[in-house]
Amino acid sequence: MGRALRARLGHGAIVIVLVVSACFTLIRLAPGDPFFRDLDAARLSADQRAAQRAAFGYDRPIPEQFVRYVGQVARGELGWSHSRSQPVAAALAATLPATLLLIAVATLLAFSVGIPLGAWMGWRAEEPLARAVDRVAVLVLAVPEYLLALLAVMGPALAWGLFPIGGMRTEFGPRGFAGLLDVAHHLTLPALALALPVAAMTARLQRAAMRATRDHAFVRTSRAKGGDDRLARRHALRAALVPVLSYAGVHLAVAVSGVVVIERIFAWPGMGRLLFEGVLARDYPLVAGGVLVASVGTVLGTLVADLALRWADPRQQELR
Amino acid sequence: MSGRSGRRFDRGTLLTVGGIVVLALAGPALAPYAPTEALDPQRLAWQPPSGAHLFGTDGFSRDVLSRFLAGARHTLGVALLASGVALLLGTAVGLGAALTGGWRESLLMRCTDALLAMPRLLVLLLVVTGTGALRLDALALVLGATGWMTTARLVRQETRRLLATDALRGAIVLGVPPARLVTHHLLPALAPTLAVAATGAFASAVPLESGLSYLGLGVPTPLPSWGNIIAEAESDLLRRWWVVVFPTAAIIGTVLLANRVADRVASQGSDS
Repeated sequence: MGRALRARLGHGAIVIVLVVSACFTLIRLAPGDPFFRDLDAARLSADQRAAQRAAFGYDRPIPEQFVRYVGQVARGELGWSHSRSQPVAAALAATLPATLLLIAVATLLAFSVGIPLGAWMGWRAEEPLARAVDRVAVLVLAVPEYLLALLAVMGPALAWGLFPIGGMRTEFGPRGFAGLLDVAHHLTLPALALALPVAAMTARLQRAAMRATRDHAFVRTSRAKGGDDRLARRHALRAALVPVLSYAGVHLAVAVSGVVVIERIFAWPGMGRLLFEGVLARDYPLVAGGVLVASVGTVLGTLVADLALRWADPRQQELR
Repeated sequence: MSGRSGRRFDRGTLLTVGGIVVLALAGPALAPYAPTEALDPQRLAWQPPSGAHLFGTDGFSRDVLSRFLAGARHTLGVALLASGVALLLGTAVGLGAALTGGWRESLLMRCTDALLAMPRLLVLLLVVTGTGALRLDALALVLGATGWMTTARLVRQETRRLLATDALRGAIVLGVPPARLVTHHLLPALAPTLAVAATGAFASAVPLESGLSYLGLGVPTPLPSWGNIIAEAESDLLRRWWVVVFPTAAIIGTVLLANRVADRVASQGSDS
């Protein structure tokens, strides 16, 4: 246990270092300075530009800049967002909770629907209804995320008018417990939209795993020992959870991408919308900081999913 | 060629693939109007489908059918070029990792992990922030450069498996030089894997382009693409359904088709 775990943690640490390097490379790859171009560039004299470059350390050699960048990131300094006139870290921190709430609820929703649904589909793979549901899941996965959100979630919501279609709370709305309900009310649609493709993917993976496990000897043994169908199904499910849990880690990177689109559609005041506005304002430090935070978060999430995997399937501990 | 693939794929799949290729090649020639021409912004904006405009018109009174036909080339071309770039990069990294081994392999694969952990859309947004709207070829390159990691993993895994087979070990023992080993022994054996990886990359690039176009950061207007035709409808998707329905169906159909081809190739590979 100890050694495999240490190796996995070391692996995670290396990946984080590489992610930070990749972010630095992306920042440096930007042609010219990330700070002044287009309209501003014309109004700045060469002296002023040089002064600004020096102030932000852009006149230093690349290796020195890299070391400084790593030092800043380690201290949580991500630079200055010129479109919001505040530190990038503060801007991100202000919007991160809303995004984490959205991702957490959507993930919970997706897995609590996808796993049982997929297990049922796999257990009864030959029945027409299970096959039909699988077809629907395939179709859902082929639809671009924003169209799914607009057509499958926004459309009915507009037609029935049951849920607010934008924002996180009612302005000047209730506080306390009623305020929480208000947030939940606003959260329903974006969470559904974000969860739908993940649920479809989870269900399909769970179905395949369940189908493969169903015919294993240990499931037959459980039946032969006189255990009922439910018990056999439970044994099979625990073994069949493995590929789904390993998907949970990968899913995070996809979900973070989805958040940008979903938050824009439902005007959810999270990091995705902040970053999109950053793109429009050409606020390079802000977007770069967002990419860094999201990537490191994804690595950590994958790590947690991996550890959960070890718990679910002791066989994994001997591998690698 | 056609005889062999006739056994691999059923007629419907082949016909649809052919139809899409024709659409991409001949699309603009089939268009009844110029795809970027505003016909009559006063009277012809947001016209529902009719005899004169089978797919209706958009907010600038442009003919949606013409834009749809001309857009096929941009959407499919960008996705095709992107998957080509992804295939090239992924194969190089995957082969390189599997062949070198040791710390080089670890480093290459950890880099792959790191890039895989970076949300693709965010990286694309970062690039667009730096450069402004991208030209078509640049868009395809960037899509490819952010989409090769799964291919690299697949190729590395399959190469490692192949290197352990008797045929490859024999070739190595006989002193086949590394370059020849790659071109004459590994790449032919990798072909099914590469086909699966390429169709997978294609299937992910099509919706991604349309998503970027929806955010206004994909194929630059007024050039049509399936994604930015849909984006024209803005928030009124349901009332202006004709702008949305046809490109959406085309995108979904293309992705389903690519998945189907990948499935077929994959099962073919496991049979033989």
